[in-house]
Amino acid sequence: MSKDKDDETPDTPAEETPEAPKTAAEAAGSVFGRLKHPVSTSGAPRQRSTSASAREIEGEVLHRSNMASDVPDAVRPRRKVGRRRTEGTPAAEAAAAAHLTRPSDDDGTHFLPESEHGTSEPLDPREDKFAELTVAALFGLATVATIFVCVAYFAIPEHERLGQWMNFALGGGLAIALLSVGAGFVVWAKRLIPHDVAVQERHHSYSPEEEELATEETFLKGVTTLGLGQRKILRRSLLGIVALLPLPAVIFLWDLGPMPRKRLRKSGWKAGDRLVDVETNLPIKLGDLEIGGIKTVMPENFGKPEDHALAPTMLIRFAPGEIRSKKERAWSKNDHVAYSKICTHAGCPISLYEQQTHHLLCPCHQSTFDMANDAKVIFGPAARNLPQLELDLDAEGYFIAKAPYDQPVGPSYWERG
Amino acid sequence: MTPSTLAAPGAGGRRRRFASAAIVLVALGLLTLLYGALAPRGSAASSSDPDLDAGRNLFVKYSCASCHGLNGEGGQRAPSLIGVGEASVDFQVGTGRMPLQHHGAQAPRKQPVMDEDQIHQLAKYVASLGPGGPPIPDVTGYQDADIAYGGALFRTNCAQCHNFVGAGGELTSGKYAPSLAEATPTQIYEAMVTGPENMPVFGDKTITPEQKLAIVNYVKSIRAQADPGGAGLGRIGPVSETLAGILVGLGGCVLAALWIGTRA
Amino acid sequence: MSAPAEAAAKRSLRYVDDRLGSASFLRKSMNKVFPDHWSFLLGEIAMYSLIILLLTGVYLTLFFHASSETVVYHGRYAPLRGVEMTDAYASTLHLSFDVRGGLLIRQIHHWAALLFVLSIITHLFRVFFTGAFRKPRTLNWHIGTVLLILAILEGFAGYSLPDDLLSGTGIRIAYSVMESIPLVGSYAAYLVFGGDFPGVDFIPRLFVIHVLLVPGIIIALFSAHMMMIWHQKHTDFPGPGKTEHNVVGTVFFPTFILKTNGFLFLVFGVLALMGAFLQINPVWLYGPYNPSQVSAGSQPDFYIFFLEGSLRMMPNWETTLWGHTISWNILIPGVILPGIMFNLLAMYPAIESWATKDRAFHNLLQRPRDVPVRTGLGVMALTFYGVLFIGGQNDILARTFDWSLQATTWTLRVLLITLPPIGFYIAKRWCLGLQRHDEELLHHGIETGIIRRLPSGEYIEVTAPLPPQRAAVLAMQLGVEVDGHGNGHAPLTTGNGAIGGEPEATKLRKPVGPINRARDMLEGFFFERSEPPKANPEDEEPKTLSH
Repeated sequence: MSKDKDDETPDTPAEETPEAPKTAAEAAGSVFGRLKHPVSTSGAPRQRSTSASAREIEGEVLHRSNMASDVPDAVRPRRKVGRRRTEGTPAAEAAAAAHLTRPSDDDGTHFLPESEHGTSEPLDPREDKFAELTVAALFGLATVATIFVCVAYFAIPEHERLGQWMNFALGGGLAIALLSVGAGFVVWAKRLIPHDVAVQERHHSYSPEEEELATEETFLKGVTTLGLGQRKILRRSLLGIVALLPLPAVIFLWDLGPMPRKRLRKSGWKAGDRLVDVETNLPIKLGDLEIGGIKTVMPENFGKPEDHALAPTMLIRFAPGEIRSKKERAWSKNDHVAYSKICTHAGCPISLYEQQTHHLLCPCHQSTFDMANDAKVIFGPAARNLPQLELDLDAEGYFIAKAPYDQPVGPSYWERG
Repeated sequence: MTPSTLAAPGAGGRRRRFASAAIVLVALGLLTLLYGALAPRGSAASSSDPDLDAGRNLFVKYSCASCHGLNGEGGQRAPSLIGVGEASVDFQVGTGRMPLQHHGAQAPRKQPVMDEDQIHQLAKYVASLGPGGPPIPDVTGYQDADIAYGGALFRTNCAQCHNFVGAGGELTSGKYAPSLAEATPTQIYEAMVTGPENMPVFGDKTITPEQKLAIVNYVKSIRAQADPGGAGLGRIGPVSETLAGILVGLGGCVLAALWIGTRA
Repeated sequence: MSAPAEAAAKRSLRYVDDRLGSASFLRKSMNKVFPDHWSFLLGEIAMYSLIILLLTGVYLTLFFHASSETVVYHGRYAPLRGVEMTDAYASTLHLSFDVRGGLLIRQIHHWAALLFVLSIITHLFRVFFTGAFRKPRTLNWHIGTVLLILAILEGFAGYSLPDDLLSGTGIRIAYSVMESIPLVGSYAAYLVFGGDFPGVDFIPRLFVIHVLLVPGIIIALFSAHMMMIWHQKHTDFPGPGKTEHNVVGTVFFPTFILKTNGFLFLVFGVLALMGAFLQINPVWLYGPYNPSQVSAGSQPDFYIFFLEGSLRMMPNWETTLWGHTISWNILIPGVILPGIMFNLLAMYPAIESWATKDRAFHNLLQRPRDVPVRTGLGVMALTFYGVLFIGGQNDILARTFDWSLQATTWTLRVLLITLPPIGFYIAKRWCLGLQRHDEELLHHGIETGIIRRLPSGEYIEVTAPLPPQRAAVLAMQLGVEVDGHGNGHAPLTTGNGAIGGEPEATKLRKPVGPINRARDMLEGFFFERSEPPKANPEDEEPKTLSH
C-alpha cells in the first residue's frame, strides 16, 4: 500500500500532507494502516494524494504536535485520538467513522464511535507532550535506579548492620525501577493511546447442534467398533488389569519409611538412665533445682534431641506438701517429679511452667496441665494427662529413671490403645 | 478526820507513805534494768547501720507492711519476705512492680517509686528480716560471655514463655511473660535467680552464673541487633507479617488496580 | 513507524505464519476485547505473584541445601556461631548474610507467597459475589479451588524448608495430624517422614514437592485456567450497550497488553518494596529446629491460621475403644473441617444451580445486592472462616490487648456458632435494603436536592429521571420490567437477563418426592424477598415529601 505513489501533488514536510485511503476497506486493513493514513488537521479541505512516502508520513507525525489552537469548533474531530488532534473533511470523517464502526473480524470486533462512549473534550497539544515527557521521565528514573542497583551491589558495605544497607539499597532501587516502569506503561496506556472502546461478539460456548450430534455419533461409533459392548470376556479382562495396574506404583512407595509397629511406643528412656541436662549433658544431682525450678532433661547418652524427639522430659521441684495426687507422689523423689515434655495433643514441647499455680501451658494450642495433680488436662484440646516418669536417686545422688514411661509418649494414634 | 486525830500514828503514817513510794521506785528501776538486760534484741532495734534504718523507713513509708506484714511475715494478700534475699527486692522494686498498685493477674512493670540507692537500702533491710536468698548479682563482664551459648540456653529455658527474642508471651488467665525490652542486665539475672511470681526459679545450680551471663548477653545483644531485612514488625512472627502483607501488599496492588481499571 | 522497522515486522509475521499458520489466530488475539473493570485485575495480582515466585524461587534453589545433615555453623552471624544445625538451616543463613541480594530475594519470595494466597482469596470473593462462577465457568471455578489448596500447601512447604524453630513446630503438628488418621495414620506418617519425627528424609522430600511437583501442577492448572478465560471471554458487569452476547472493553493489542504489562511491573515493584523495607521470616532469630524447644506465640503463615484456630478451639474429645484411639480433637479440626470447607467451596456452583434450577449461560455479572441470599451465604462462610482465622492468633491478641487467654478461647467458641447466622442475616437485609433503594431510584429518579414550593403551599422535591440506558440496566439487574411510564412489573424471569434458561411458564407439573420438594424450598429460599416487588411503587405511601 505504501508503494502506491501518486506524484501529481508532491507533498512537502512543511505542508501537512493529508492522506486519505482510497476506500474504506483500505483504511480498515490494519492497525498500521490506521496509523499511516490519519486524517490531517489543517482546517481547509485539500487536494488529497493517495499516498506519501514514509519520510513524509514521519514528517507529518512529527508536525502533528504543532497543532494550531485556533481551529474552529466545526471541524474539531469527533474521534478522540488520545490527545492528538485530527481533522478532516466530511468525507474523511465519514470514512473514519465507517472504518471505526465496521466489524474487523468474523466475531464482529469493532470500535464504538465516540458518540457512544465518553465525551469530547477540548484537546490540548501540551497535555500530550507533557504525558509523553512524564512517561519518558519515569523510564529515565527507572534507568537511574537500575544502574544504582548494579553499582550498589559492589559499592555498599555488605556487612554493615548485618547487611541492612545492602538490602535497602538493592531492594529500594529495584522497587523504584519496577514501580517507575510500571507507572510509565500505565500512563502511556491512559494518556498516549486512543481511548477507543471496542465491542466483540460472544459466540456461544457450545457448538452448533449438528457438530455435537456428529461428534456423539463418531464417538459412539468408535466405542461400538471397539466392541466393548458385546465382547464380555474382553471387557472383564480389561477391567481386571486396569484395576490392578496402579497397584505397583503404590507398593513401590512401601520403603519410603519403616513400618511403625511398636516404635511409636518407645520414647528412648530405659530403666536406670540418668537424667541429663539437654544443653550441657550433665547429670542432675539432688539439690540442683530450687523449689519452683524446672529443667529440661534427656536420658543419658541421648546424642541429639532430633534422634529422640519423644524423650524430652521436664523435671520440676515442688515445695513439700504441694503434690496432691498419691500416684504422683509415689513416683516422685524428694518432691521432684518428671513428666514428658511432649504434649499429648499435637506433640509440641510444652514447658510454659507457672510456678505458683503449678500449671503447665502448651504454647501451640493452649492445652493446660495441672502438674501438682497427675498432669491432668484442665483446659484446652489435649485429651490425656502427660505421662509421668518414675524417679529415683542413684548411689551418687543423681536422678535416674526408675523405669521407662509406662505408656506411649506424645500425641495419640490409632494403635495406641 | 483531822490530822490531830491521827496524831498518834501520824509520824509513822508519813514514813510509811514515803516507804511505799520508794519501794515502787526501786522496783521499777530494777525491772527496767532487768528488761534492758534480758529483752530480746529485735532486728529492728539495731541502730548501728544507717542503711538498715533508711531501709526500714522506706519499708514503712511505702506501706510494704500493709500487705507483707510489719516483719515481712506475709499473709493473705502477700507472700512472706523472710529469706527472699536482696535480689528479689532489687528486682521487684527496681522494675516498679512493687509497691503493687492493685491486685490483678500479675504485677506489671511500671515506673519505680524510689531511686537506686533507696532500693539498695530497702533490699538490705528486707534481707535482714531473715537469712537466705540471693544477693544482688554483679553482671559486669556479661558482654564477654558466649553469645551463641546464651542463645541456645535461652531457646531451651526462656523462649517458650518470653518468645525467641524476648518479645513476651501469654500465659493462662491473664498472666503473661513480659517483654524483656526494658529489662537491665541486672534485672534479667535477678529474675532468673529469684523466679518472680509465676516465673520458675533458675537457681545457680540449675543455670550456673556463667550460663546466666551468657543468657543476659544474648538478650541484650539481640535486642540491640539490627534487622537486616527492614522493619522488624515487632519480631513476633507471622501475625504482624500478615497485617503488613494485607495493608501494604494487597492494599498497594489493589490501589494500582483501581488506577489502571475503570470504576464503572 | 519507519519503513525498515515495518518491513522487519512484516517479515517476522510472515516467517511465523509460513510455519504455523498463525495469522488468523494472532489477529483474533490482538483484537480480543477485555472488559477493564478494576476488580478483574485481582486475579492478575495472583498471576504476577506466581511469576515472581517462580523467578525468585529459581534463584533460591541455586543456594539452598535441602539436607538434614548436621553441620556446625561458622558463618558470619555471631549469635549462632558454633551451634549445631541442619545444612538446610545453615544454607539459609548463608544466603541471608553472605550472598549479596540473597536476603532481598528470600524476602521478596516470601512476600510474594503471601500476596499470592491473599490475591487468590480476594479474587475468589470477587468471582463468588458477582456470580462469575456460573455456567459456563463452573469448570474454571473447580480449577481455581484446586489452585487455592495447592497454593496453601505450597506455601506451607516453602516456609518449612529452612528447618527453623518456628516452622519445625508446624511440621511437628502436621506429623501429629497425619498420625491421628484412623487405621492408616501411623503408617502414613512413617512413610512420609521415613520413620520417626523428625528424621532426615523429610526436608529433601519436601524440597522436591515444593520445587518440582506442586509448581508443575500449579502451572498446568493455571494455564488451563487462563486458556478457558481466553476462550470463553471474560465476564462483565451490566452497563450501557452490554448484553449477554457481547464483550465491551479494550482490545488486547496495544491497549490492554500495555496496561497489564504495567500492572506486572507495579506488582513486582510493590513486592520489591516490601522485600526491601519489611522484614519477613527472620529465621536467624528463631534458631534451628530442636524438638525439645518451642517459642511462645508460635504461629504458621496466615493461610494456615484457620486450621490453627480450629485446633485451638476444639474441645478435647478423644475416644478409646478396644485398644484403638481416635483423636477427635485433632481429626475434626485438622482433617474433617478443612475437608468439608473445601468441598463446599468446590461444590457451591453445583449446589446453587441445583437449588435455583438455573441452567442458563451467564456472561453478565450480578451485583452482590442482586442476589441477597448468595451474598448472605458468602458473608456467613467468611464470618466462619474469620472466627477461625482470629482463633489462630488468639495468644498474640490476648498479649496485645491484655485479655485472658482462656476467655478468648471460650469467646471464639461461642462466636463460631452464633456469628455466622448473624452475618448471613445482616448481609441479606443489607442487600434487600440496597435493592429497595435502587427501586426508589428507578421509579422516582435521582434526588436533585431542589425543593420547590407549589402554589398550593406544598413542598416537593424535584427528582430527575435516570438516564434511559442506566434505567434499563438497573431494571434488568433488579428483575423488574419497566413499561413506558416507568412502572415496574413483577419479573417473568429470574431477573438476571439470563439467556437460554427455563421459562417458568413451561413448568406445569407439581414436583413430587422429598428431593424435589427440598429443591423447591431451596429455590424459594434463594429467591426469597422480604416482599414481592411492587407492581407500581406509586401505590406505596410516600415516605418523604416527594411526589
